[in-house]
Amino acid sequence: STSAAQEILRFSSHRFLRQRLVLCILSGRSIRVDNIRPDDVHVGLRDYEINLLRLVERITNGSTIDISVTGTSFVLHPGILPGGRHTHTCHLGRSIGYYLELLVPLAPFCKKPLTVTLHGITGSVNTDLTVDSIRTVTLPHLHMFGIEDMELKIIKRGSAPLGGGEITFSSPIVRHLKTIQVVDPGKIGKLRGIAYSTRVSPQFANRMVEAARGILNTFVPDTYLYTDVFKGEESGKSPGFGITLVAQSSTYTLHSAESSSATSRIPEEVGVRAARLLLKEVQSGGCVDSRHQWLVLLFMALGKEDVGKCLFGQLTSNTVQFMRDMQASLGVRFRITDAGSNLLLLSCLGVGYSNVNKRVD
Amino acid sequence: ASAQLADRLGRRRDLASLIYGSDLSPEEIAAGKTRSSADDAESSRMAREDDEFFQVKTPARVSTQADEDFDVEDDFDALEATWTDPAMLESIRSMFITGPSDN
Repeated sequence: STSAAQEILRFSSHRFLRQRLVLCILSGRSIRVDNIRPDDVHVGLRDYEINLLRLVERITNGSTIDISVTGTSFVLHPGILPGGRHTHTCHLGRSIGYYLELLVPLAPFCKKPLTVTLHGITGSVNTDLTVDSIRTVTLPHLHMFGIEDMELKIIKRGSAPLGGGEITFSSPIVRHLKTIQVVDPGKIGKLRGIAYSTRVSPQFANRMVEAARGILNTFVPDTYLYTDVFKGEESGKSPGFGITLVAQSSTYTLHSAESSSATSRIPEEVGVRAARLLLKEVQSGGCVDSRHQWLVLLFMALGKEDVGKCLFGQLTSNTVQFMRDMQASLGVRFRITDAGSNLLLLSCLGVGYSNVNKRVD
Repeated sequence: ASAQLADRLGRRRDLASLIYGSDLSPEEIAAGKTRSSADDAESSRMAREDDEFFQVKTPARVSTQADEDFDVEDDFDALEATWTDPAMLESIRSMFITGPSDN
């Protein structure tokens, strides 16, 4: 299978682009992506996706990216991850969180610690994670693998459509990922949240908090929702607001949900929607937040050559595709056992990430 | 009903083979299907009824823009209908420290 390892990996469609880029860089295998919106009125890669490919070039050494004239396909030969300090201006078609979801899984595998300053929209665009979700949900999910020192600082907030936000993300490098045995979801006992706003009345943040609290109070007495109102220069170029909610269990598992002014201009509606989305997320169960299933599975696959186990709720379509892509790129296949109550126990043998990294020269 | 139950049990048992060994789309697998919709023609009426039944519990829709990596939660009416239903609210109480212990 040495020849198979050299073979170019082929993917189709514009979807799942970030995860495929991550797999390409970590596995050291070249990828070719075809059929990128061939039938769309606006054919090919979007500007925000080309911006993402530029970010890949920025944080790697020796990558080459060839985009076809029509933009419907590209080939990426991945380079190495040197780490160090970088600055990047994200496209305003997506949030900073969209770009961070590429950086977070790559950062621990750089040669030196990575620090990246990103400019753009700190809130939500479409379903992108906000920087608040990345800080309070994504990074804590990596604690279980022994990565505790990643940090995200929100320097300026910036809402859609004009942004003006700025964050700094920094990550240590790791030698080994801890093999996980996370099978007890525990009971949810704590609720935390952040209501943020830019260029609107500071009362909006309080109104979101009160609305969310009204729904969640009967479930969790230990609730602390705080408001984070940025003003003046630090509040970007557009008005906007939103709320991120995080439920923590007695075994430190997390489930989260968020909503923003992208879906409603009424703060109470935003607060209520976030609260109901959180209940729905809690209902889906397991030890992993739905939107972080792929990240946990990736780090299980990259772990030491030992069997890791984790209890999941219902798998999302994104996760299903990612499991297929991981089998193609890393050769990792998960074992799935029905754990009852709509829960699934997923386990796999890690590939040992240092081996993966050494193959690149 | 027993056929449906068997179907669902079968789905769980065969999830790995559906993911790694079938042509079903990720959306179909996440939605709990065990056969592609093309094979479903004859039982489409039943499937529709099933869909309606599951709509209540799982209002999430696949993004219409298809530009998203995650399913967009755009059906806020369904979300409200589900999470103002006392039975639904009661059904998740045991997942909280304040709820009844399950054993």
